[in-house]
Amino acid sequence: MTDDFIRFENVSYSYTSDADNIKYAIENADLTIKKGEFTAIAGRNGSGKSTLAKLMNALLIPTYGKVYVNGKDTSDESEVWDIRRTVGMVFQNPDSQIVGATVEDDIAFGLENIGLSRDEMHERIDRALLTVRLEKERSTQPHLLSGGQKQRCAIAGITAMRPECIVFDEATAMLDPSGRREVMELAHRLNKENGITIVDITHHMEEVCCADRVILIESGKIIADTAPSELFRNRRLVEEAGLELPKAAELAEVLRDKGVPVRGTVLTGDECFEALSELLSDLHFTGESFA
Amino acid sequence: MKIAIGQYVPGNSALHKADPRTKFILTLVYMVAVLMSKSYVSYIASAALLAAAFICAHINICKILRSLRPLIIMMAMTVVLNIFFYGGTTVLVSFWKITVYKESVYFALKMLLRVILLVLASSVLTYTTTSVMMTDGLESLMSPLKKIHFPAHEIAMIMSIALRFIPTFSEETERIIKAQTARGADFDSKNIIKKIKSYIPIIVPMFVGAWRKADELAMAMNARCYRGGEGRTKYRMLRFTYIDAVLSVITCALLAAVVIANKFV
Repeated sequence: MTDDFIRFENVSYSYTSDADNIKYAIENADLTIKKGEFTAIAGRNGSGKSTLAKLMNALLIPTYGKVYVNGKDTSDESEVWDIRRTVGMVFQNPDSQIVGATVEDDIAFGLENIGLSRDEMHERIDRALLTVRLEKERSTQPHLLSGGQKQRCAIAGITAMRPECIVFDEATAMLDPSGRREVMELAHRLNKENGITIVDITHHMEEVCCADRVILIESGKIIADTAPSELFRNRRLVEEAGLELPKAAELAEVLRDKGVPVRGTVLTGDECFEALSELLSDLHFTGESFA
Repeated sequence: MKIAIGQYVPGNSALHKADPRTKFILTLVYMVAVLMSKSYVSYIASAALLAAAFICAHINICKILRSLRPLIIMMAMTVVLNIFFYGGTTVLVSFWKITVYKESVYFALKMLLRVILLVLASSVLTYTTTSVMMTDGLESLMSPLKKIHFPAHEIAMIMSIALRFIPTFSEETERIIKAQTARGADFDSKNIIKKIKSYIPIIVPMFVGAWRKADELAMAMNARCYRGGEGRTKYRMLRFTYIDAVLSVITCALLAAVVIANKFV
Protein backbone atom coordinates (compact mmCIF):
# COMPACT_ATOMS: atom_id res chain seq x y z
CA MET A 1 0.00 0.00 0.00
CA THR A 2 1.50 3.31 -1.08
CA ASP A 3 0.53 6.65 0.37
CA ASP A 4 -1.01 7.68 -2.96
CA PHE A 5 -4.44 8.87 -2.01
CA ILE A 6 -5.97 10.11 -5.23
CA ARG A 7 -4.56 8.86 -8.52
CA PHE A 8 -5.51 10.07 -12.01
CA GLU A 9 -4.42 7.75 -14.82
CA ASN A 10 -4.46 9.42 -18.21
CA VAL A 11 -7.84 11.01 -17.53
CA SER A 12 -9.83 12.89 -20.15
CA TYR A 13 -13.27 14.31 -19.60
CA SER A 14 -15.73 15.82 -22.02
CA TYR A 15 -19.12 17.32 -21.14
CA THR A 16 -20.53 16.41 -24.57
CA SER A 17 -20.62 12.92 -25.97
CA ASP A 18 -21.04 14.20 -29.51
CA ALA A 19 -18.11 12.53 -31.29
CA ASP A 20 -17.86 15.11 -34.10
CA ASN A 21 -16.93 18.19 -32.15
CA ILE A 22 -15.71 16.70 -28.93
CA LYS A 23 -14.00 19.15 -26.62
CA TYR A 24 -12.19 18.00 -23.56
CA ALA A 25 -12.46 19.95 -20.32
CA ILE A 26 -9.62 17.78 -19.01
CA GLU A 27 -7.16 16.11 -21.34
CA ASN A 28 -4.74 13.27 -20.56
CA ALA A 29 -4.25 14.22 -16.94
CA ASP A 30 -1.85 12.13 -14.84
CA LEU A 31 -1.73 13.11 -11.23
CA THR A 32 -1.30 11.72 -7.76
CA ILE A 33 -2.19 13.37 -4.51
CA LYS A 34 -0.60 11.98 -1.37
CA LYS A 35 -2.18 11.53 2.02
CA GLY A 36 -1.87 14.62 4.23
CA GLU A 37 -0.80 16.92 1.42
CA PHE A 38 -2.10 20.46 0.96
CA THR A 39 -2.40 20.89 -2.78
CA ALA A 40 -3.55 23.99 -4.59
CA ILE A 41 -4.96 23.70 -8.09
CA ALA A 42 -4.81 27.00 -9.93
CA GLY A 43 -6.02 28.12 -13.31
CA ARG A 44 -8.14 30.80 -14.94
CA ASN A 45 -11.93 30.54 -15.31
CA GLY A 46 -12.84 27.75 -17.70
CA SER A 47 -9.42 26.12 -17.50
CA GLY A 48 -10.96 22.89 -16.24
CA LYS A 49 -9.97 23.10 -12.59
CA SER A 50 -13.51 22.59 -11.29
CA THR A 51 -13.93 19.60 -13.58
CA LEU A 52 -10.75 18.17 -12.13
CA ALA A 53 -12.20 18.61 -8.63
CA LYS A 54 -15.50 16.91 -9.48
CA LEU A 55 -13.61 13.94 -10.92
CA MET A 56 -12.08 13.39 -7.49
CA ASN A 57 -15.27 12.29 -5.74
CA ALA A 58 -17.15 10.60 -8.55
CA LEU A 59 -19.46 13.55 -9.21
CA LEU A 60 -18.03 13.18 -12.71
CA ILE A 61 -16.73 9.94 -14.19
CA PRO A 62 -13.81 10.19 -16.66
CA THR A 63 -14.68 9.78 -20.35
CA TYR A 64 -11.31 8.07 -20.79
CA GLY A 65 -8.84 6.90 -18.18
CA LYS A 66 -9.38 6.08 -14.51
CA VAL A 67 -9.46 7.93 -11.21
CA TYR A 68 -8.65 5.98 -8.06
CA VAL A 69 -9.41 7.16 -4.54
CA ASN A 70 -7.70 5.05 -1.90
CA GLY A 71 -7.31 2.40 -4.58
CA LYS A 72 -11.03 2.42 -5.42
CA ASP A 73 -12.09 3.08 -8.99
CA THR A 74 -14.56 6.02 -9.18
CA SER A 75 -16.34 4.44 -12.15
CA ASP A 76 -17.31 1.45 -10.01
CA GLU A 77 -20.87 2.23 -8.95
CA SER A 78 -20.75 0.12 -5.81
CA GLU A 79 -17.91 2.27 -4.45
CA VAL A 80 -19.39 5.69 -5.22
CA TRP A 81 -20.87 6.38 -1.77
CA ASP A 82 -17.79 5.18 0.00
CA ILE A 83 -15.66 7.47 -2.16
CA ARG A 84 -17.90 10.48 -1.52
CA ARG A 85 -17.69 9.78 2.17
CA THR A 86 -13.89 9.75 1.95
CA VAL A 87 -13.59 12.84 -0.23
CA GLY A 88 -15.80 15.71 0.91
CA MET A 89 -16.38 18.80 -1.15
CA VAL A 90 -17.01 22.46 -0.37
CA PHE A 91 -18.52 24.42 -3.25
CA GLN A 92 -18.28 28.00 -4.37
CA ASN A 93 -21.73 29.39 -3.62
CA PRO A 94 -22.44 29.30 0.12
CA ASP A 95 -26.17 29.77 -0.50
CA SER A 96 -26.70 26.76 -2.68
CA GLN A 97 -24.98 24.09 -0.63
CA ILE A 98 -26.68 24.46 2.74
CA VAL A 99 -29.68 22.16 2.95
CA GLY A 100 -30.72 22.37 6.60
CA ALA A 101 -32.99 24.97 8.16
CA THR A 102 -30.40 25.65 10.88
CA VAL A 103 -26.63 25.16 11.16
CA GLU A 104 -27.16 22.09 13.33
CA ASP A 105 -29.70 20.56 10.94
CA ASP A 106 -27.39 21.16 8.02
CA ILE A 107 -24.52 19.31 9.67
CA ALA A 108 -26.98 16.53 10.47
CA PHE A 109 -28.01 16.25 6.80
CA GLY A 110 -24.86 14.41 5.70
CA LEU A 111 -24.90 12.25 8.83
CA GLU A 112 -28.52 11.25 8.21
CA ASN A 113 -27.55 10.28 4.68
CA ILE A 114 -24.91 7.85 5.88
CA GLY A 115 -27.36 6.37 8.38
CA LEU A 116 -25.70 7.15 11.71
CA SER A 117 -27.43 6.65 15.05
CA ARG A 118 -28.79 9.67 16.89
CA ASP A 119 -26.21 9.50 19.67
CA GLU A 120 -23.37 9.33 17.19
CA MET A 121 -24.85 12.32 15.31
CA HIS A 122 -25.05 14.40 18.49
CA GLU A 123 -21.44 13.71 19.32
CA ARG A 124 -20.19 14.43 15.81
CA ILE A 125 -22.22 17.64 15.49
CA ASP A 126 -20.83 18.93 18.79
CA ARG A 127 -17.30 18.14 17.65
CA ALA A 128 -17.78 19.69 14.20
CA LEU A 129 -19.24 22.90 15.63
CA LEU A 130 -16.24 23.18 17.92
CA THR A 131 -13.81 22.61 15.05
CA VAL A 132 -15.28 25.37 12.89
CA ARG A 133 -16.04 27.60 15.92
CA LEU A 134 -19.75 27.99 15.27
CA GLU A 135 -20.92 26.75 18.70
CA LYS A 136 -22.93 29.93 19.28
CA GLU A 137 -24.60 29.72 15.86
CA ARG A 138 -25.82 26.19 16.46
CA SER A 139 -29.50 26.94 15.90
CA THR A 140 -29.11 29.97 13.63
CA GLN A 141 -30.83 29.96 10.25
CA PRO A 142 -28.32 29.88 7.39
CA HIS A 143 -29.46 33.11 5.75
CA LEU A 144 -28.53 35.04 8.90
CA LEU A 145 -24.88 33.93 8.74
CA SER A 146 -22.05 35.86 7.09
CA GLY A 147 -20.43 34.45 3.97
CA GLY A 148 -17.44 33.10 5.89
CA GLN A 149 -19.74 31.57 8.51
CA LYS A 150 -21.84 29.91 5.80
CA GLN A 151 -18.75 28.30 4.29
CA ARG A 152 -17.60 27.22 7.76
CA CYS A 153 -21.04 25.68 8.28
CA ALA A 154 -20.62 23.79 4.99
CA ILE A 155 -17.17 22.66 6.12
CA ALA A 156 -18.60 21.50 9.45
CA GLY A 157 -21.16 19.42 7.57
CA ILE A 158 -18.31 17.73 5.77
CA THR A 159 -15.87 17.27 8.66
CA ALA A 160 -18.68 15.64 10.66
CA MET A 161 -18.70 12.88 8.04
CA ARG A 162 -15.02 12.27 8.96
CA PRO A 163 -13.55 12.40 5.44
CA GLU A 164 -9.89 11.78 4.71
CA CYS A 165 -9.80 14.54 2.13
CA ILE A 166 -11.69 17.79 1.54
CA VAL A 167 -11.78 19.45 -1.88
CA PHE A 168 -12.42 23.18 -1.78
CA ASP A 169 -13.92 24.02 -5.17
CA GLU A 170 -13.30 27.79 -5.26
CA ALA A 171 -14.82 27.91 -1.80
CA THR A 172 -13.44 31.39 -1.17
CA ALA A 173 -14.32 32.96 -4.52
CA MET A 174 -17.53 34.62 -3.29
CA LEU A 175 -16.18 35.74 0.08
CA ASP A 176 -14.75 39.04 1.25
CA PRO A 177 -11.11 39.07 2.44
CA SER A 178 -11.99 38.39 6.08
CA GLY A 179 -14.25 35.51 5.08
CA ARG A 180 -11.50 34.10 2.89
CA ARG A 181 -9.03 34.30 5.75
CA GLU A 182 -11.44 32.46 8.08
CA VAL A 183 -11.92 29.66 5.58
CA MET A 184 -8.23 29.29 4.66
CA GLU A 185 -7.17 29.27 8.31
CA LEU A 186 -9.67 26.51 8.93
CA ALA A 187 -8.44 24.53 5.91
CA HIS A 188 -4.86 24.71 7.15
CA ARG A 189 -5.88 23.78 10.67
CA LEU A 190 -7.77 20.72 9.42
CA ASN A 191 -4.71 19.77 7.41
CA LYS A 192 -2.23 20.15 10.28
CA GLU A 193 -4.26 19.04 13.28
CA ASN A 194 -6.56 16.42 11.80
CA GLY A 195 -4.28 15.21 9.03
CA ILE A 196 -6.97 15.77 6.41
CA THR A 197 -5.70 15.91 2.84
CA ILE A 198 -6.71 19.24 1.30
CA VAL A 199 -7.18 20.11 -2.35
CA ASP A 200 -7.80 23.82 -2.82
CA ILE A 201 -9.08 24.90 -6.23
CA THR A 202 -8.51 28.62 -6.57
CA HIS A 203 -7.31 31.51 -8.62
CA HIS A 204 -6.16 33.49 -5.63
CA MET A 205 -2.39 33.29 -5.69
CA GLU A 206 -2.14 34.30 -2.03
CA GLU A 207 -3.85 31.00 -1.21
CA VAL A 208 -1.47 29.12 -3.45
CA CYS A 209 1.53 30.50 -1.51
CA CYS A 210 0.58 28.60 1.63
CA ALA A 211 0.11 25.23 -0.09
CA ASP A 212 2.67 22.40 -0.09
CA ARG A 213 2.27 21.94 -3.79
CA VAL A 214 0.63 23.70 -6.70
CA ILE A 215 -0.82 22.29 -9.89
CA LEU A 216 -1.34 24.78 -12.69
CA ILE A 217 -4.00 24.05 -15.30
CA GLU A 218 -4.58 25.71 -18.64
CA SER A 219 -7.11 24.55 -21.28
CA GLY A 220 -7.60 21.23 -19.55
CA LYS A 221 -3.92 20.38 -19.39
CA ILE A 222 -1.63 20.28 -16.39
CA ILE A 223 1.17 22.69 -17.26
CA ALA A 224 3.00 22.75 -13.94
CA ASP A 225 3.12 20.58 -10.83
CA THR A 226 5.61 21.91 -8.35
CA ALA A 227 6.18 23.80 -5.09
CA PRO A 228 4.70 27.32 -5.00
CA SER A 229 8.13 28.92 -4.57
CA GLU A 230 9.33 27.15 -7.73
CA LEU A 231 6.26 28.11 -9.72
CA PHE A 232 6.61 31.77 -8.85
CA ARG A 233 10.11 31.83 -10.26
CA ASN A 234 8.51 31.22 -13.62
CA ARG A 235 6.52 34.38 -14.12
CA ARG A 236 5.98 33.75 -17.84
CA LEU A 237 4.27 30.42 -17.21
CA VAL A 238 1.97 31.85 -14.55
CA GLU A 239 0.97 34.71 -16.83
CA GLU A 240 0.42 32.30 -19.70
CA ALA A 241 -2.10 30.50 -17.51
CA GLY A 242 -3.97 33.78 -17.11
CA LEU A 243 -2.97 34.32 -13.50
CA GLU A 244 -0.87 36.80 -11.59
CA LEU A 245 1.98 36.31 -9.16
CA PRO A 246 1.33 37.41 -5.59
CA LYS A 247 2.40 41.03 -5.23
CA ALA A 248 5.50 40.24 -3.13
CA ALA A 249 6.70 37.53 -5.50
CA GLU A 250 6.06 39.74 -8.50
CA LEU A 251 8.14 42.54 -7.00
CA ALA A 252 11.00 40.11 -6.38
CA GLU A 253 10.80 38.81 -9.93
CA VAL A 254 10.73 42.28 -11.47
CA LEU A 255 13.82 43.24 -9.44
CA ARG A 256 15.60 40.05 -10.47
CA ASP A 257 14.78 40.74 -14.13
CA LYS A 258 16.43 44.16 -13.74
CA GLY A 259 19.52 42.49 -12.33
CA VAL A 260 18.97 43.17 -8.64
CA PRO A 261 20.23 40.10 -6.75
CA VAL A 262 17.20 39.32 -4.54
CA ARG A 263 18.02 36.16 -2.61
CA GLY A 264 15.88 33.35 -1.23
CA THR A 265 12.25 32.59 -1.89
CA VAL A 266 9.88 35.51 -1.77
CA LEU A 267 6.19 34.61 -1.49
CA THR A 268 4.77 36.70 1.32
CA GLY A 269 5.10 40.32 2.37
CA ASP A 270 7.30 39.34 5.32
CA GLU A 271 9.70 37.40 3.13
CA CYS A 272 9.83 40.31 0.73
CA PHE A 273 10.66 42.69 3.55
CA GLU A 274 13.41 40.37 4.75
CA ALA A 275 14.97 39.97 1.32
CA LEU A 276 14.89 43.70 0.66
CA SER A 277 16.33 44.72 4.02
CA GLU A 278 19.10 42.15 3.52
CA LEU A 279 19.76 43.67 0.14
CA LEU A 280 19.86 47.18 1.56
CA SER A 281 22.30 46.25 4.32
CA ASP A 282 24.52 44.61 1.66
CA LEU A 283 24.39 47.81 -0.35
CA HIS A 284 25.27 49.86 2.67
CA PHE A 285 28.23 47.54 3.36
CA THR A 286 29.72 47.55 -0.13
CA GLY A 287 28.76 51.09 -1.09
CA GLU A 288 27.71 49.84 -4.54
CA SER A 289 24.76 51.25 -6.40
CA PHE A 290 22.48 49.99 -9.14
CA ALA A 291 22.24 52.80 -11.60
CA MET B 1 -39.94 41.11 3.35
CA LYS B 2 -42.63 39.42 5.41
CA ILE B 3 -43.49 35.87 4.55
CA ALA B 4 -46.45 34.05 6.02
CA ILE B 5 -44.66 30.71 6.37
CA GLY B 6 -41.92 32.13 8.55
CA GLN B 7 -44.40 33.01 11.29
CA TYR B 8 -42.82 30.91 14.00
CA VAL B 9 -42.67 32.71 17.33
CA PRO B 10 -39.95 31.19 19.53
CA GLY B 11 -41.20 30.07 22.89
CA ASN B 12 -41.19 27.38 25.49
CA SER B 13 -44.87 26.75 26.12
CA ALA B 14 -46.68 23.42 26.16
CA LEU B 15 -47.91 24.16 22.64
CA HIS B 16 -44.34 24.74 21.45
CA LYS B 17 -43.23 21.49 23.04
CA ALA B 18 -46.08 19.37 21.73
CA ASP B 19 -45.41 16.92 18.94
CA PRO B 20 -46.08 18.49 15.51
CA ARG B 21 -48.12 15.45 14.49
CA THR B 22 -50.44 15.99 17.44
CA LYS B 23 -50.79 19.64 16.56
CA PHE B 24 -51.59 18.82 12.95
CA ILE B 25 -54.30 16.35 13.80
CA LEU B 26 -55.75 18.44 16.61
CA THR B 27 -55.90 21.49 14.34
CA LEU B 28 -57.94 19.38 11.93
CA VAL B 29 -60.17 18.13 14.76
CA TYR B 30 -60.68 21.70 15.93
CA MET B 31 -61.60 22.81 12.42
CA VAL B 32 -64.14 20.01 12.15
CA ALA B 33 -65.61 21.13 15.48
CA VAL B 34 -65.91 24.72 14.23
CA LEU B 35 -67.48 23.65 10.95
CA MET B 36 -70.02 21.50 12.78
CA SER B 37 -70.96 24.21 15.25
CA LYS B 38 -74.56 25.41 14.95
CA SER B 39 -75.37 27.18 18.20
CA TYR B 40 -73.70 30.21 19.69
CA VAL B 41 -72.78 28.13 22.72
CA SER B 42 -70.54 26.00 20.49
CA TYR B 43 -68.94 29.04 18.93
CA ILE B 44 -68.24 30.56 22.32
CA ALA B 45 -66.67 27.32 23.53
CA SER B 46 -64.47 27.11 20.41
CA ALA B 47 -63.40 30.72 20.68
CA ALA B 48 -62.59 30.28 24.36
CA LEU B 49 -60.40 27.29 23.65
CA LEU B 50 -58.57 29.21 20.93
CA ALA B 51 -58.04 32.17 23.26
CA ALA B 52 -56.65 29.80 25.86
CA ALA B 53 -54.25 28.41 23.25
CA PHE B 54 -53.00 31.89 22.35
CA ILE B 55 -52.52 32.80 26.01
CA CYS B 56 -50.72 29.53 26.67
CA ALA B 57 -48.35 30.11 23.72
CA HIS B 58 -47.69 33.75 24.76
CA ILE B 59 -48.62 35.21 21.40
CA ASN B 60 -49.58 38.85 21.58
CA ILE B 61 -52.77 40.27 20.17
CA CYS B 62 -51.08 42.35 17.43
CA LYS B 63 -49.62 39.23 15.85
CA ILE B 64 -53.02 37.55 15.99
CA LEU B 65 -54.74 40.46 14.28
CA ARG B 66 -51.99 40.71 11.69
CA SER B 67 -52.59 37.14 10.59
CA LEU B 68 -56.18 38.09 9.77
CA ARG B 69 -55.29 41.14 7.69
CA PRO B 70 -54.75 39.37 4.35
CA LEU B 71 -58.24 37.91 4.67
CA ILE B 72 -60.14 41.16 5.26
CA ILE B 73 -61.56 41.24 1.72
CA MET B 74 -62.65 37.64 1.91
CA MET B 75 -64.30 38.20 5.28
CA ALA B 76 -66.08 41.32 4.02
CA MET B 77 -67.37 39.39 1.01
CA THR B 78 -68.63 36.61 3.25
CA VAL B 79 -70.57 39.08 5.36
CA VAL B 80 -72.00 41.12 2.48
CA LEU B 81 -73.05 38.15 0.36
CA ASN B 82 -74.70 36.37 3.27
CA ILE B 83 -76.54 39.44 4.46
CA PHE B 84 -78.10 40.10 1.07
CA PHE B 85 -78.62 36.64 -0.32
CA TYR B 86 -79.19 34.27 2.59
CA GLY B 87 -82.79 35.20 2.97
CA GLY B 88 -85.12 34.68 5.94
CA THR B 89 -88.54 35.58 7.26
CA THR B 90 -88.13 38.44 9.76
CA VAL B 91 -87.50 41.68 7.90
CA LEU B 92 -84.96 43.91 9.57
CA VAL B 93 -84.68 46.76 7.08
CA SER B 94 -86.06 47.14 3.62
CA PHE B 95 -85.27 49.82 1.06
CA TRP B 96 -85.67 50.02 -2.69
CA LYS B 97 -85.47 46.42 -3.92
CA ILE B 98 -83.25 45.16 -1.15
CA THR B 99 -84.51 43.50 1.99
CA VAL B 100 -82.28 42.50 4.88
CA TYR B 101 -83.58 39.76 7.11
CA LYS B 102 -82.73 39.16 10.73
CA GLU B 103 -81.77 35.54 10.01
CA SER B 104 -79.36 36.55 7.28
CA VAL B 105 -77.53 38.95 9.61
CA TYR B 106 -77.19 36.22 12.22
CA PHE B 107 -75.99 33.78 9.62
CA ALA B 108 -73.48 36.27 8.22
CA LEU B 109 -72.03 36.85 11.67
CA LYS B 110 -71.74 33.13 12.25
CA MET B 111 -69.94 32.71 8.99
CA LEU B 112 -67.57 35.53 9.81
CA LEU B 113 -66.83 33.99 13.18
CA ARG B 114 -66.28 30.64 11.52
CA VAL B 115 -63.72 32.04 9.05
CA ILE B 116 -61.89 33.88 11.82
CA LEU B 117 -61.73 30.79 14.04
CA LEU B 118 -60.47 28.60 11.19
CA VAL B 119 -57.73 31.03 10.21
CA LEU B 120 -56.62 31.61 13.78
CA ALA B 121 -56.60 27.88 14.53
CA SER B 122 -54.17 27.26 11.70
CA SER B 123 -52.05 30.17 12.82
CA VAL B 124 -51.70 28.62 16.29
CA LEU B 125 -50.03 25.74 14.47
CA THR B 126 -47.67 27.92 12.44
CA TYR B 127 -46.86 30.22 15.37
CA THR B 128 -45.75 27.37 17.61
CA THR B 129 -44.13 24.98 15.13
CA THR B 130 -40.83 25.52 13.30
CA SER B 131 -40.71 24.64 9.63
CA VAL B 132 -38.34 21.79 10.42
CA MET B 133 -40.78 20.28 12.90
CA MET B 134 -43.62 20.84 10.46
CA THR B 135 -41.95 18.90 7.63
CA ASP B 136 -40.74 16.19 10.01
CA GLY B 137 -44.28 15.84 11.32
CA LEU B 138 -45.75 15.68 7.82
CA GLU B 139 -43.22 13.09 6.73
CA SER B 140 -44.01 10.98 9.75
CA LEU B 141 -47.76 11.29 9.21
CA MET B 142 -47.44 10.39 5.54
CA SER B 143 -45.03 7.53 6.07
CA PRO B 144 -47.69 4.79 6.21
CA LEU B 145 -48.48 5.79 2.62
CA LYS B 146 -44.98 4.70 1.56
CA LYS B 147 -46.40 1.18 1.33
CA ILE B 148 -48.47 2.22 -1.66
CA HIS B 149 -45.37 3.92 -3.17
CA PHE B 150 -46.41 7.39 -2.12
CA PRO B 151 -43.22 9.52 -2.09
CA ALA B 152 -43.56 10.73 1.52
CA HIS B 153 -39.85 11.32 2.11
CA GLU B 154 -39.41 13.13 -1.20
CA ILE B 155 -42.35 15.45 -0.57
CA ALA B 156 -41.09 16.30 2.92
CA MET B 157 -37.58 16.93 1.53
CA ILE B 158 -38.94 19.19 -1.22
CA MET B 159 -40.97 21.13 1.37
CA SER B 160 -38.07 21.61 3.74
CA ILE B 161 -35.76 22.74 0.93
CA ALA B 162 -38.43 25.13 -0.35
CA LEU B 163 -38.80 26.60 3.16
CA ARG B 164 -35.04 26.85 3.60
CA PHE B 165 -34.71 28.80 0.32
CA ILE B 166 -37.51 31.32 0.85
CA PRO B 167 -35.26 33.89 2.58
CA THR B 168 -32.49 33.30 0.04
CA PHE B 169 -34.86 33.97 -2.84
CA SER B 170 -36.42 37.00 -1.22
CA GLU B 171 -32.93 38.49 -0.85
CA GLU B 172 -32.29 37.71 -4.49
CA THR B 173 -35.58 39.30 -5.57
CA GLU B 174 -34.65 42.49 -3.80
CA ARG B 175 -31.25 42.46 -5.47
CA ILE B 176 -32.79 41.99 -8.91
CA ILE B 177 -35.35 44.74 -8.31
CA LYS B 178 -32.53 47.11 -7.41
CA ALA B 179 -30.50 46.06 -10.44
CA GLN B 180 -33.46 46.55 -12.79
CA THR B 181 -34.35 49.87 -11.17
CA ALA B 182 -30.77 51.01 -11.77
CA ARG B 183 -31.32 50.18 -15.44
CA GLY B 184 -34.42 52.36 -15.56
CA ALA B 185 -37.20 49.85 -14.89
CA ASP B 186 -40.35 51.44 -13.50
CA PHE B 187 -42.22 49.50 -10.83
CA ASP B 188 -44.45 52.30 -9.61
CA SER B 189 -46.66 52.66 -12.66
CA LYS B 190 -50.36 53.14 -11.92
CA ASN B 191 -51.37 51.35 -15.11
CA ILE B 192 -52.08 47.75 -14.11
CA ILE B 193 -50.89 46.23 -17.40
CA LYS B 194 -47.69 48.23 -17.28
CA LYS B 195 -47.23 47.15 -13.71
CA ILE B 196 -47.58 43.47 -14.57
CA LYS B 197 -45.27 43.86 -17.54
CA SER B 198 -42.67 45.56 -15.40
CA TYR B 199 -42.37 42.41 -13.30
CA ILE B 200 -41.25 40.27 -16.23
CA PRO B 201 -37.63 41.50 -15.95
CA ILE B 202 -37.71 40.28 -12.34
CA ILE B 203 -39.36 36.94 -12.88
CA VAL B 204 -37.08 35.82 -15.72
CA PRO B 205 -33.78 36.28 -13.83
CA MET B 206 -35.41 34.73 -10.75
CA PHE B 207 -36.23 31.58 -12.69
CA VAL B 208 -32.80 31.38 -14.27
CA GLY B 209 -31.21 31.83 -10.85
CA ALA B 210 -33.51 29.24 -9.30
CA TRP B 211 -32.60 26.63 -11.92
CA ARG B 212 -28.92 27.25 -11.43
CA LYS B 213 -29.29 27.05 -7.65
CA ALA B 214 -31.26 23.82 -7.95
CA ASP B 215 -28.49 22.34 -10.06
CA GLU B 216 -25.78 23.38 -7.61
CA LEU B 217 -27.78 22.19 -4.63
CA ALA B 218 -28.38 18.80 -6.24
CA MET B 219 -24.65 18.51 -6.84
CA ALA B 220 -23.87 19.46 -3.23
CA MET B 221 -26.46 17.01 -1.87
CA ASN B 222 -25.01 14.28 -4.05
CA ALA B 223 -21.52 15.05 -2.81
CA ARG B 224 -22.82 14.63 0.73
CA CYS B 225 -24.04 11.12 -0.01
CA TYR B 226 -27.74 11.94 -0.40
CA ARG B 227 -29.48 9.06 -2.15
CA GLY B 228 -33.14 9.32 -1.19
CA GLY B 229 -34.97 8.18 1.91
CA GLU B 230 -33.71 4.61 1.86
CA GLY B 231 -31.36 3.79 4.76
CA ARG B 232 -31.54 7.34 6.06
CA THR B 233 -31.71 8.04 9.79
CA LYS B 234 -33.33 11.07 11.41
CA TYR B 235 -31.55 13.56 13.65
CA ARG B 236 -34.67 15.04 15.17
CA MET B 237 -36.86 12.63 17.01
CA LEU B 238 -40.60 13.08 17.37
CA ARG B 239 -42.03 11.74 20.58
CA PHE B 240 -45.50 11.85 22.10
CA THR B 241 -45.52 13.06 25.69
CA TYR B 242 -48.15 13.72 28.33
CA ILE B 243 -48.58 17.21 26.80
CA ASP B 244 -49.89 15.61 23.63
CA ALA B 245 -52.29 13.48 25.64
CA VAL B 246 -53.65 16.50 27.53
CA LEU B 247 -54.07 18.56 24.35
CA SER B 248 -55.82 15.67 22.62
CA VAL B 249 -58.27 15.20 25.47
CA ILE B 250 -59.13 18.91 25.55
CA THR B 251 -59.67 19.20 21.80
CA CYS B 252 -61.66 15.99 21.55
CA ALA B 253 -63.80 17.19 24.46
CA LEU B 254 -64.59 20.31 22.45
CA LEU B 255 -65.62 18.23 19.45
CA ALA B 256 -67.81 16.04 21.66
CA ALA B 257 -69.37 19.11 23.28
CA VAL B 258 -70.18 20.58 19.85
CA VAL B 259 -71.81 17.33 18.72
CA ILE B 260 -73.89 17.15 21.90
CA ALA B 261 -74.83 20.83 21.67
CA ASN B 262 -76.06 20.29 18.10
CA LYS B 263 -78.43 17.61 19.36
CA PHE B 264 -79.85 19.35 22.42
CA VAL B 265 -79.50 23.10 22.16
